[in-house]
Amino acid sequence: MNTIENILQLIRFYWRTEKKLYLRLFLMFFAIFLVKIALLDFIFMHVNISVYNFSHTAFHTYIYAGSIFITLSYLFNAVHHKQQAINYLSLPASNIEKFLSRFILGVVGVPILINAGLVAAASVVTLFLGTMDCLAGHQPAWLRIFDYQCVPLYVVPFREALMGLHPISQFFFSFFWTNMFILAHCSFFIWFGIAFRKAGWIYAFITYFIVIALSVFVLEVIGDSKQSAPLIAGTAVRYGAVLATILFTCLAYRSFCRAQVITHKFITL
Amino acid sequence: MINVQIIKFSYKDKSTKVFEDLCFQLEQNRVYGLLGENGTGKSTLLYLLMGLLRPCEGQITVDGVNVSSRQRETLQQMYLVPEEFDLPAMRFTDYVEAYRPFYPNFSDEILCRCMEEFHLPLDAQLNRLSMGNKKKALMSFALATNVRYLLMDEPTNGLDVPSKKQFRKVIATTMTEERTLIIATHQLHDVEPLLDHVLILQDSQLLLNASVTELCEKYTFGIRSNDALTDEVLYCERTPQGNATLSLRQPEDEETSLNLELLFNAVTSNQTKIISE
Amino acid sequence: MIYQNERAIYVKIADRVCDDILSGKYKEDERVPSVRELAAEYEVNTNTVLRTFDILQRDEIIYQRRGIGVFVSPGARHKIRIARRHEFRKHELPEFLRRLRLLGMTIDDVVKAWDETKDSES
Repeated sequence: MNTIENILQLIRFYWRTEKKLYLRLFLMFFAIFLVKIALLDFIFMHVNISVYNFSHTAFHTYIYAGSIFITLSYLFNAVHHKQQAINYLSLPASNIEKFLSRFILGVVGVPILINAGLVAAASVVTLFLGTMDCLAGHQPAWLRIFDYQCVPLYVVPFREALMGLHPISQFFFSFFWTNMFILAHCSFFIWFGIAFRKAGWIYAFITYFIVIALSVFVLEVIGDSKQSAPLIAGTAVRYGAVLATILFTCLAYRSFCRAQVITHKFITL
Repeated sequence: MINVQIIKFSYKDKSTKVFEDLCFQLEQNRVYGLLGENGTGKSTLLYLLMGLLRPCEGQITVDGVNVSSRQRETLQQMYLVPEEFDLPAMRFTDYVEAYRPFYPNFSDEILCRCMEEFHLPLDAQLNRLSMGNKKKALMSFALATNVRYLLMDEPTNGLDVPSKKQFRKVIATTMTEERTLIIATHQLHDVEPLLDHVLILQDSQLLLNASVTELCEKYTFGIRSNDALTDEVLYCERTPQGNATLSLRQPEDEETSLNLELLFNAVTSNQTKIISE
Repeated sequence: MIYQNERAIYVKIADRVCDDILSGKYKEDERVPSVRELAAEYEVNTNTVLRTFDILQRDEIIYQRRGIGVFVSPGARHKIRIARRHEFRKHELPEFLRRLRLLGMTIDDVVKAWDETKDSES
């Protein structure tokens, strides 16, 4: 189909013009994870193991997820800067082609960059501090990132299937829903990023935590009264993820179509 | 053809810039001069023409298609050279490779000819060029896209004198019968000989919309002594050579060349009524 | 009453083309630069040059061969000289004579100057 060719053409364009930005992002993630693994983890592991055991996974999750979502909120940032907006919006491609190409680039590309940064940081740490870790009785960083340091959500189904924990059908089921869950978060942050001219991710996080708090509250209320709370929660999360993905993707597309070369607008709806 | 019907447009925070009932058409094979002082809304109008801004009421259509829908086929025939822009840190050849797939009528020949005229190497490192050279490089690309509607916002700003000459040469050589070229500028002398049609904008109002042929048929521009300031003189300015005048052309008068600066001053000074079509 | 009106650009360019024909740069039945080439040389709009070609064709200074180009008509030099003499007699000569009288000079001063320059030319 013509549109698919056009979307590929756009992705090729992004690569040609933003290569250096992607490299910088990779280095940034590399630095962040390096600090986390080489400094914080290392210090706590060897100094005060209880603090390490308590916090390292959660910490990693926040850094990992936070990095993906904040980066994604800047996916359409070009639209908020006059010169970049002129350049991008007048590029001969339809709105849907530009939106989809950018969306795919972000949702596929950013996790690749983050994982690359993580693996690179872990490799460096293993290379230089691995012996110290092993001597102290810990696993080298390389293995730690898969076991303790928050296995990336979409790897969970792979690992469990490989370990024989579930049948293959179950694998596809959990793989699909895990990715849908992540996609919902991505489109949520993408919309906030494109709708708000400045630092949309802040509003995104605020809204997110409010929603989480409300959901927890609702679940607790239900949980008290029903035995099947976990099942309801699971279903709610699954279909909520689908609805959220559709809703925020559509909102983001609408905001993109309505974007103009104006620098003073607070929110584009 | 671009059909402009802006019933209303305003920047919501700057209430001064408002277009109301601004309607005109832009045809093929014409070089339009969109003239006005800084801050009169020239750039805003260009952004509206490109679909980068939407009128609050009204619409702008390019070849019948509403430009706000930002369709591929429409945008393929349009290019805007902004007044200020940043070029990425790459070689010009890489820049061209990245952007040319979007313009199906792109011509390497025109690109090379323009860069040659501008004395710029094709593999110039873009982020190390001076502002003037960046402009020339981007203009070369713009002309090479071979689009039907080419818009330029203050193209001669930041160009030195030899560059302005190169600019005029390049525009004169690359203009085609299918193209509509719109140059928004306040540097009247830089573009005067290139124009087919004059649009004068002041305070977001279109004060004049007339072709150069029309203007030279209706009015004469010249220098007169003090005793020659008769009734047909519509506007007059003192200069070292004498009185620069804009007068109604009499049947026996020969056509004179257009004095764009005088025309501009006459129209914007509110002292004369020059009827626009 | 002093009028100094600049002639329309397309007329001025026509004059330049005629100058080039008179000086021999463009010989009779030879090709004249195209519209685009002239527009580039004088840095003007191509439509301006089209008007130039219109009046030159009207005055039979040039002729067009479709698909090949624009050429200098035979006898163009002669026609240009005749036209310019006519212009001179109509505008510059009366003005010149008027100024002579204003300055209190006579035709003898003119003849004297003529003889002097004639000597230096030959």
